[in-house]
Amino acid sequence: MNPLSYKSGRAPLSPGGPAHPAPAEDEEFIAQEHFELWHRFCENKTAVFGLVVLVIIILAALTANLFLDPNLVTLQDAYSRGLAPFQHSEAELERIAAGESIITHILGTDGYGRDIFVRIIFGARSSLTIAFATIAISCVAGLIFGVGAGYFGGVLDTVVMRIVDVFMCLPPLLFSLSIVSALGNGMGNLILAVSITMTPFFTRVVRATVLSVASMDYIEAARANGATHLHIILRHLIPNCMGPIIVEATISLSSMIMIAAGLSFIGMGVLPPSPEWGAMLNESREFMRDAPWMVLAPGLTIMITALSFNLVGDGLRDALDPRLKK
Amino acid sequence: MVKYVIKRILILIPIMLAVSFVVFSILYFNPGDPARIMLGASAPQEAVEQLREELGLNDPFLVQYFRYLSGVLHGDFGTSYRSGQSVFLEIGARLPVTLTLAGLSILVVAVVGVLLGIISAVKQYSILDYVLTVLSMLASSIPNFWLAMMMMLFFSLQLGILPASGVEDGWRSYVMPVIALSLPPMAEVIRMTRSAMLETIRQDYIRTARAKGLMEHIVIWRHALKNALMPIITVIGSNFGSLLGGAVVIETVFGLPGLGSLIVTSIRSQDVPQVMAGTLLIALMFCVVLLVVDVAYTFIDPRVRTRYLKEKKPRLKKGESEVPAA
Repeated sequence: MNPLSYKSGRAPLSPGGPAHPAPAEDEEFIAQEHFELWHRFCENKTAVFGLVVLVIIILAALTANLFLDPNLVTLQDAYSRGLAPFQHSEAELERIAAGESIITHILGTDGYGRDIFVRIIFGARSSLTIAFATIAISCVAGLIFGVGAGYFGGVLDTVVMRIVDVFMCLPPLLFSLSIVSALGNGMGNLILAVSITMTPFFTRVVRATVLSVASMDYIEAARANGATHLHIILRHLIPNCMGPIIVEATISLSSMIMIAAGLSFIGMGVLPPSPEWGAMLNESREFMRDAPWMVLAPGLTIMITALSFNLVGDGLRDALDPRLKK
Repeated sequence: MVKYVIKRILILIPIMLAVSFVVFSILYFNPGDPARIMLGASAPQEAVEQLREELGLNDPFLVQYFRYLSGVLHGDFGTSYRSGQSVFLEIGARLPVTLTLAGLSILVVAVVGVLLGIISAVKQYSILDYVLTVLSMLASSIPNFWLAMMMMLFFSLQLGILPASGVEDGWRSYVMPVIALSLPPMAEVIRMTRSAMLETIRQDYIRTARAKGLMEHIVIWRHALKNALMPIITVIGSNFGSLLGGAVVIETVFGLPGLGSLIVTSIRSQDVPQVMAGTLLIALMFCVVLLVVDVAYTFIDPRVRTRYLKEKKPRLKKGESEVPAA
């Protein structure tokens, strides 16, 4: 195979792309491949914007402890209920006059007098954890079932795909809802429920990709070399399938954020005292008329996060398969 | 043709049986004790035990499932734990609301989505195309329940022109729910229509159609759209699922007495038969729509039709080629 073919900018990671090279050339080859991928990704301004926003959100969630007091998340202050952004309660004004430094409610406070900005930052932890955990679990499960079905085919394929068909008949949100209702509320159960819901979807994606890769000549060549099934799957099949799967996973992260928020919103997920964006929206519903900022901020946060995942996913798709972008 | 439709309907039966098994198994693990719920918290333990025996709740799982199934096949979907009446009473009252909501939404999604997608494709790289692309990107990232709350805030609380909840105001009660429900799927339909149309417009037969002097609207509507319709219909069909799931949340937000809000309240009160019946009905609706989509393929695409007319050996061969020889 000719390494020069990469320089022409043809899709290196897409299933139709060139073969996975022999291990000896691997590292240099992959480094070049990744560099070109990164380069193409950076050409897409909106995708880079999405990535920057995501990095900021993730960093904010990770380092929240350093610049914000975690106690503020659940601290209920009867005197500062329903403060508009940048407003201070009288008690706080007195303390400021006394020279104490006090937190400015840049997004206002909620109906229990808790600072909304603090809760949104700490809420990012639960929302992002749920999103990444569900995608990780369902991706791995999807890989196992999808590779099994697509690579080995035959009866296994039929059985797996019929089961997937059955699960795909249940609308995702409804399916998650009934699992949460059986398992009970809580973040762990929510993650499990949504992962189970997403697994059939990823199984389908993986199987479709595997089918197109498995018929490639290099798989045939590996088999002719006497490679074991395990070796072919791990060294040749999965690495060449990763492109489309990563794209799907990134775009699904945005639906995960929304499904998790939706379930918490109807009170079937992360329960109110803990800060979760959907749960925050649910709590602020009754104050909507007099304090619109309470519903504005968490909703906008969900939207910006979901949008960023979508933008990054689209950018990745274009970078992985330039032929799609005309 | 008729044979194919009948075959597809027959496939629906095992799928629905499997769906009922899945849903029954999930809800079987519901932590609540039905006998305790029916008798109230203060009832003596012996009475609860006796009722459990009468209801057959001490029987093995499979026995309970088959008893439920035979009941369903005889038209008895069980009695609500709460009201003690057949679950159909409640469902019958609520089904029309959900059907109206979902039907109107999918209609809006299909008509407006395809229309905007075509405009976007025909006027590629125009300002309109750019605006539509950005808007559909935003719309697919907005959580529908938040959109619903924002509309409620603006149209009901600020302007007071649309009712915030209930179905008492006829069509005006449905305006906001339908918009909230249809906007995210519509965004996806717009994007799919745009890309499918762009791909078709580049084909040679479109150039031929233009070359022979056909008017542009005939080229677009009769030649291009017809050939681009397959992926568009697939997306509309699969989005009906997320639409039904979204209805669960949207009905809760707007206080619409539909199946979705019934399921949520029944889950809260651990009324398992009611949840079962509601979930099965929604799954059935989704399956029927997927079936309609499958049948629609044969109407749109003569190639699919002929494949089923003389479908014997060719498909088997294709299946074999997908499976790598061991």
